[in-house]
Amino acid sequence: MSLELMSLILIGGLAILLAIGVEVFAAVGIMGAIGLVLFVGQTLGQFPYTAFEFMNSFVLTAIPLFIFMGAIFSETGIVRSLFNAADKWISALPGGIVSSVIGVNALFGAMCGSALAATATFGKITYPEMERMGYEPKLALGAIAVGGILSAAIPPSCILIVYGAWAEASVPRLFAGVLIPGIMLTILLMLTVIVQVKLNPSLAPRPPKSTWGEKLIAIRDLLPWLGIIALVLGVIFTGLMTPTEAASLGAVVSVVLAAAYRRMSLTALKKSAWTSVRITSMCAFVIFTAKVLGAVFQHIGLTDLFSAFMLGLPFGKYGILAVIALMYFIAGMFIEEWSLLLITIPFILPVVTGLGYSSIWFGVWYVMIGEAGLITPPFGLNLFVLQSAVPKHDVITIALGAAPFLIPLLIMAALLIVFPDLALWLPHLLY
Amino acid sequence: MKRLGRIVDSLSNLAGYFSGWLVPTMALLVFIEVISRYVFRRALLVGDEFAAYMLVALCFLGAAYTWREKGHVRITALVSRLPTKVASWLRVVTLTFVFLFVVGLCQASYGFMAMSFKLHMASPSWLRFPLQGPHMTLPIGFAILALLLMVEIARTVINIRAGKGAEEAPR
Repeated sequence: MSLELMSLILIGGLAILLAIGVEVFAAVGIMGAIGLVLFVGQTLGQFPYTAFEFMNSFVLTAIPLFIFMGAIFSETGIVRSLFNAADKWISALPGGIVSSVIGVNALFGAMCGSALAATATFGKITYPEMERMGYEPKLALGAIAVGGILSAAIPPSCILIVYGAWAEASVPRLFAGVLIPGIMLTILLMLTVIVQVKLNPSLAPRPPKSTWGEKLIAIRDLLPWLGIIALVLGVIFTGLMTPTEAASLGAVVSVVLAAAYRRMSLTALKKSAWTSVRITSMCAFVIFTAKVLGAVFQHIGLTDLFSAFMLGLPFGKYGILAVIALMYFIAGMFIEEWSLLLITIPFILPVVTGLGYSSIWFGVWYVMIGEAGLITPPFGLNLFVLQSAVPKHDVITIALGAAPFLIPLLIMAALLIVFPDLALWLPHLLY
Repeated sequence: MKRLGRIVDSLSNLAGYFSGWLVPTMALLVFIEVISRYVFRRALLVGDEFAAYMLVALCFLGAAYTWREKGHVRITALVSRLPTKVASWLRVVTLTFVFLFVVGLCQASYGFMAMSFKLHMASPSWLRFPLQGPHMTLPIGFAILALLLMVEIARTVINIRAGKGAEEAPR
């Protein structure tokens, strides 16, 4: 059978299965199974072998632990104290609490690697307050939806752990690589809020002024949080601990902190653990099925063909990356960002490295461009997660509110293409 | 049918409950390993290995629970625009696809486990830990998921016949 026909069957079949609503892991797995049996001549025995070999990984163990850590803060409600303290400093900016939501999401992102967990948490905590104070719903909801992305764009980031394990790229280097772009993205998102409010002051009430006494008390309240962030990231960046060991430290410290706030309960512990199981198990199923499908693509020669085709495009380096970015942006509207990354790594990574960029750079860049899919309809997961936390507003309202925040994400992705050192300087300095 | 449904629901909850407890256990195990290395200057050298086995167990034993909680993502942009009846029957078809795939995984992972028993597979580390336990979590997890899918297909068909649509909420 010709390569073109095999490719058509596999990619066409995958597109049809995804379009008719088959779960992503099963759609990918079914096409992987068909390819394995018909085109590679192997049995389904490859699935359990791949599943066990890939998931039996100490590196990936960090994922449930970081999710657990973030879920403990969220389920016990102690993250509210982080928000209240940071708000005293940030809400003086135009946009008030909306700016605070972005800033606090960046801090929360330094403790929780899951964008969905962050969005659900801040949807419940901050939106009622913003509504009460008369903030324009679209601006408020858009900021909460996009703020969740910072959990992926500020280390520790679960999607970068998966990517690192898959692409055999160092996870601490990836974390170091995403730190500066993540901070820049936070600033750009806050600027987007400020510009919107300056152009239309009716979007947000005048921020209440905090006294210096309140601000000093806020610093005291922020200390435990800053301590956790410094501890978890510090032990990773100094090489004292692996990301998984740092995640276990963070998980234990999160329980201790919740107990210190007298908010720890068995129910919160169980809910946090189950949240962790749900996200990790979903991720594992997409990983091992995508790994098999990727191997099939590689075996039939499709990845090499695609790579040669892309590298042969007459658009130059920036043009080819723009094509890839556009493809991710459009595909991100329909496919969840982890699945999109895992399905496309075998194709895109060789092209990117062929253009002279490193695998570390690609991981960081994907976070900026791929995570945009979380806030673009019709399948922006953050939109749905936030809508379930704030049911009185529909997904369209949230999506419209989030739309202006796509600009800083795209700017950041473009900056990374032109200045790759934004992602590579810190890893080079530290390691 | 209802009884079978209840049994399968309980089974997936039980496996999910067990998987849930693996998370704090895993955190403690790795944390103790770290403390042992930095405070007592003596590495246990088991934390890494067992934490990874626990990860395998929680992913596969927790699969059915994750399904029940609608944790497995799917694209509903197209099907949500179809008439309810068409979308509901299409859901039966897609569930059947997933069921058949999971049955295939079940069979393949049973073979994988049987091979592990036959060859007395053990970890390559100094522990030489027998891998049959971790390998066993795959067919068990897939089997519970397959049972759950079977029940969900039956429930969806019953719902459609009773004039109700299959749930098409985005996951």
